[in-house]
Amino acid sequence: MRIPFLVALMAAAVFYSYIAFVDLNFMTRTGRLGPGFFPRIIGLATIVLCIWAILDELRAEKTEDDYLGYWRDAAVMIGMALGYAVLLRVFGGYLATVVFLLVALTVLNQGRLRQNLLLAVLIPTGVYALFDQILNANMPPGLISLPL
Amino acid sequence: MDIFADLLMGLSVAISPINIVFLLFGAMVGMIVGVIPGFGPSAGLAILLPVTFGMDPIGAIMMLAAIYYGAMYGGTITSILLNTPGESPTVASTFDGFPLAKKGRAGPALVMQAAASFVGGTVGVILITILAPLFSQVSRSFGPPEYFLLATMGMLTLIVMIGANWKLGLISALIGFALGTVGVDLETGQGRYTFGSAELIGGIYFIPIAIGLFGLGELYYAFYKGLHKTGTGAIVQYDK
Repeated sequence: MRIPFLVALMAAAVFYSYIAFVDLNFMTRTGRLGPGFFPRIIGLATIVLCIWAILDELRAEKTEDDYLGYWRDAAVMIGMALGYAVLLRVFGGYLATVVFLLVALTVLNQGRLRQNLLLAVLIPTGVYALFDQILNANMPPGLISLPL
Repeated sequence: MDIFADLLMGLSVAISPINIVFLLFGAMVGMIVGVIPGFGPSAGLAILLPVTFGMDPIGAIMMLAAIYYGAMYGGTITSILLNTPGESPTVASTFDGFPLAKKGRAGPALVMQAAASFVGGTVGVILITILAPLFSQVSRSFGPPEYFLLATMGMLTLIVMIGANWKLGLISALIGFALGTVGVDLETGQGRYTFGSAELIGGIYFIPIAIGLFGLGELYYAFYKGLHKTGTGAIVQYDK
């Protein structure tokens, strides 16, 4: 699993370096260090080290790397977290948390619909009551907010 | 010796049964706030400040101080039990505390952390009381060379912390540097890696990174290892 991680990291480093070379200047017009000076060095160094680390991993040929584990479950949870970030923008903290908890609990705690529904509603309601109503610390607002 | 006379006078004013109750309540609330990832002492104080409005000023200030110290300790509870620091000062607790929790010695780890937190807090207060006038003069003379030396010291600490697998350690450090470049370039004022987002202009703060790296990383690794299928609440065991 370490090799795919390093490859993904290298792809991110390539993208980071691409922006550093295309959008950001190495030096300013007055000859001082530009905004792209350090990003270019950091990006290139990361790419070189990633390649080096990948080659090391390939040479090591560890058999336990065949273990894929429950990668589908992990990927589903990462996808749900990204969906939660989008929902936060659209519906705000309260409603997005209710939806996210309901979906996550439905996947993780299957066959207990009533318990999941209660938890998904009660936890965000408690957090909303504590922070928004008692402590006056507003939850993140959304584009479509509830009339609460 | 004015400092000690002032301290003694302050102590005589502060020690009253109702103030001790405020102190205990503040410490308890602070610990609860500190346990919530992302809620450090500063955020806890800011949110709980309205609670003290209308209180006696001495009791209010004592309660706020207790919230602060309670939150400082509370942040270490998640570091030890979940390997998820709530804020930057509690990151170091994950190094020794979480391995102890994995060995089933979470109780002693939490007690040791409480003792260390008490000693550290007490020594810190004594030092700041005695040395604050001196340090205020030193801090005013801080300039670019001193900041450069501080940064160099940070790099040297990094070398010690990287350990045996230096390539992966260096990649981690470079990711940290890369995240540090997000935001407005102080030299030219040009935005770097902001992609038109107003939130990224000020850079990426430490708390989201700590929670993302430690908290979410731990969570997804637990899913990857299938711990959610066992239903035992087992702690993730890392491969060497």
